[in-house]
Amino acid sequence: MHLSDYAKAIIQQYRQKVPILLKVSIGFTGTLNETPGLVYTPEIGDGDVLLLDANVDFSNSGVLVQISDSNGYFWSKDRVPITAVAGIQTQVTPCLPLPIEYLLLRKHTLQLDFKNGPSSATTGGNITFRGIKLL
Amino acid sequence: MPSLNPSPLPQPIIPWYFRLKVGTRIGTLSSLLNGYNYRHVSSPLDYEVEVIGINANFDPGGVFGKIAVVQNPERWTPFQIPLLVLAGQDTQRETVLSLPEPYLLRRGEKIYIDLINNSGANISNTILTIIGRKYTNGNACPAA
Repeated sequence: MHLSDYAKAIIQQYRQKVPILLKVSIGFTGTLNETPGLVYTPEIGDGDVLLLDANVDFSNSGVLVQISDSNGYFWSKDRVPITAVAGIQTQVTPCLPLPIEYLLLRKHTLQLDFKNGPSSATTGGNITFRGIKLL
Repeated sequence: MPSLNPSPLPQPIIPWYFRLKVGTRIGTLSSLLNGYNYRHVSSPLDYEVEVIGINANFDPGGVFGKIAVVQNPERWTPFQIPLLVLAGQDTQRETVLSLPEPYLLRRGEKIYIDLINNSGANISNTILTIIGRKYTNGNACPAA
């Protein structure tokens, strides 16, 4: 996997790296425009995680999401279409790379604020971030 | 061999997504009406961002556009071009279509988009997302 110079500079500060996949269940109930409530990535207590890309297991370009870190960094001012953030299974690369690798510090979580589509609603739904756990 | 490099971690760079609802507002959604021309300008940024690509949550076929920084509207696209060469969508391999070269938007600059829908039909729920990298302390970092 191609990593940026920024990611390489981060990785070289650690002694060990391990692949990690963080899945978050969104909890859509199939209602148009619903906002199911904030969901969070699992808290990793034994290392930092460098997030590389994301996938969702549904296809609905009307779904919106806003992502922020417990550090207070918001990735966008508003919710944005999920298709700009995560890949889907029908694509050549089902995991869409983040515009820049993101370092999620130990015990920090990403907060995700979803909104279901306005004309077609998804039920359930999972988003998965792939990354490297750094120890 | 474990690294013993004492250098600190680099300044954080944050993934950046900017939502632009383009078209006519109908309720909470926006729609590109057939034959209509739209111009949108973003709010000025209060930080530096390196823009790397654009995504459309709709089929951009038949839509023509122009995108630039307000301070120099001719800089990127002197003429209207098909939106499908500016913005990717989820049915394509490159969902976020990369710019030929990342562009550093400076503090205070505004993004300008000019669109015309010549597809023959109205397109509803039209959102462009501009994707980039936000520098938290204004320190530039080499592009990947």
